[in-house]
Amino acid sequence: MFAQVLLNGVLIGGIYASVAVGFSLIFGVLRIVNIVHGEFIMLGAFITYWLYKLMGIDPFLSLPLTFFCLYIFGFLLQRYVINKIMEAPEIMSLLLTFGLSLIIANIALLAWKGDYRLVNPEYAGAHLNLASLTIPYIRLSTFLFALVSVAGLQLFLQRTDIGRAIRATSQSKDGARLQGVSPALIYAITFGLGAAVAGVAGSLLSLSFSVFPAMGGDYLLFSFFIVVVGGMGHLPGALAGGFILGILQSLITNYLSAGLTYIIMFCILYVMLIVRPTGIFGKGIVE
Amino acid sequence: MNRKNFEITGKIFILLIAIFSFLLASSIPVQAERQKFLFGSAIAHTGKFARSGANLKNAYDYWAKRVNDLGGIEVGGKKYPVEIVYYDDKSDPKTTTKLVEKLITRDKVDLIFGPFSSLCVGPSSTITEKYKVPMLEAAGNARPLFKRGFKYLFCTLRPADELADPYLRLLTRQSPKPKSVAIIAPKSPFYMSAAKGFKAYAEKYGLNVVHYETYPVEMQDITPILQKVKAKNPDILCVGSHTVVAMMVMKQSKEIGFNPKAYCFSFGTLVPDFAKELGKDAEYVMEYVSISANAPYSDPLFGTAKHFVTSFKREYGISPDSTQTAAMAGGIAFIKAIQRAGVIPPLDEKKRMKVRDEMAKLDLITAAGPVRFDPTGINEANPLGISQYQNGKAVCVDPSDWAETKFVYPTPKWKDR
Repeated sequence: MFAQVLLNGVLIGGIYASVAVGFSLIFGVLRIVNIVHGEFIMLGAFITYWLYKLMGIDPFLSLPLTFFCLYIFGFLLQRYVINKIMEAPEIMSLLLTFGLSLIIANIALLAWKGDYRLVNPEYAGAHLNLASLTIPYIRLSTFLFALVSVAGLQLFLQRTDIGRAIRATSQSKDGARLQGVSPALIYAITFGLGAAVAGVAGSLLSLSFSVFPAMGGDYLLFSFFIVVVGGMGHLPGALAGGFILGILQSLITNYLSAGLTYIIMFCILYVMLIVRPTGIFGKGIVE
Repeated sequence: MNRKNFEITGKIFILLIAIFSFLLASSIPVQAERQKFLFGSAIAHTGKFARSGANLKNAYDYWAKRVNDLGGIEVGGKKYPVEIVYYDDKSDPKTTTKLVEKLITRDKVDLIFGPFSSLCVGPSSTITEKYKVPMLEAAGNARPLFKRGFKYLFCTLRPADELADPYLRLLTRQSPKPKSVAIIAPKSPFYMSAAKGFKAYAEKYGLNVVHYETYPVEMQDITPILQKVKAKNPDILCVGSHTVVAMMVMKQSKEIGFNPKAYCFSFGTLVPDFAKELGKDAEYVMEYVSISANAPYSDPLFGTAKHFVTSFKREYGISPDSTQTAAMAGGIAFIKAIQRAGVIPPLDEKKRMKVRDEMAKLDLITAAGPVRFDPTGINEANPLGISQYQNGKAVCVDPSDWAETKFVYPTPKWKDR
């Protein structure tokens, strides 16, 4: 039973990591706490849902389109809206992204109503019985895809010119500018990437959980926990934070009570912020 | 600001006040001329109860249409049409409360039809109690709501903690007789009340409760709970539920290969979304109903139960679920109470108190089932049957005189569906 509990935690933890990594990236480079993050996840989930429902497109095949749509949306949102307040005090970005998240969530509510929807492909219930373990294929696949998206993002940042420019801007905006990098463009690209990865996470989540316009709120909360535990702006930390959250939830639900999950989660968040605000690896950004 | 700007701003301000005053004045209904009964309902059009709220609104509308088709409610030889004023409470209890107060104080409605869910009925009924406006509700039957000694709250459903009886009575008649039951529910008034009922009736019918757990209502991933339940291998799974909970339980049960002999949900599986989203994974799911086309009821408004069920189905594409049936019965209860009180619109406090007193004394049969409120305001005569999904449709399987087909037990394996 313990192995099963641990496995459940690891599988869901991988998806949580992909949920939070975009949030961490945007904070690391733009230094804004992006409250619209939850809505990016919701939009990704809806893209997958509608492609599946209306055109019968397999949820996994919708991932590239989700990535592309959310990238464009995030890019334009930063370039033409959020960019206007980049030099303003941090509270402004918090207020602006909060307002944007309300607008997007309510437009989604008007357009798609408050119904809870499911992406339930034929293979949804297939699972592998390995010794005493049950491994749902859907969870395993979404876990692997989530890891691929996190690793892909990390590789992109490490190996490409744009990735290097993003990291340079993150370290020193003025230094990057001196090297010919346009911070405004890098901000928009980074925001687009963060949105795209969040959208893909939303698409993956839609395979296991219900899809509805207000779904972003919970995942934003999880993202906060993950990036605080893993270190704000530190991508490998987001991966670790995701696993910690997944395993923690699974252990608490199984051995204590599901009702304690949120209490324990927020106690840890509180303690981390006081004792180790740079995250478990000590590499997070603290200002 | 210079003097000219100041003057312009002042003029704009005065103009705005004038426009606002005009709009306000013209929007206040003229009470004395009203020759119809005005009902109000703050009900979910959006948010987590959107679908169930829309279903309930359909039932209220269906009742109003039927009443108006027959000319209205007859009082003292004259017929008065009915109208329902709606607001969207966004599935939020605080909003329901504000809107119910608005319906009473601004729209001056005569009577209130309740919102969806115990969560919204609870706080909003404090407002109807304060203003002495009878609220008839058909979707909030958590027991604690009726332990507050309220006089103006009436519910045409049975209490949530009594709903378990027909499921477990039917299941314990099956062969081989089930021995064990697991009960789960999110922490919210209705779900928990239903779960307590499942536990009490399981013990009454000699079933062993191997697992009982409530969990935070925000929790989407209930796989860990289902894994625990699966490890205990219960014959029956009982869930205190609305649509979303029921959908997630079925989806995640399949994911982990958990297949008890019976799935019992306290509510939410009879909305069209459930079968539409789950497809054949919805098969064999059980939910209680309080009407069947075969039920032996009738009234002058809807005719026989058969006519009521078939005409409703023709209009909305589905058989009425328990809340829709209760809404219809409640509408008829309102008509009877108004007629017996002999009051005509608009209803002031004195007239509303008369209606309330007549509601409390009612003992009637409607096409949507009998109505008799106990001293706490809940319908103690509401009948209970069981429906089960078979071949993509929810069909009544119990009691035998209501049944449209035979009950399937145990549930076939996932791969055999």
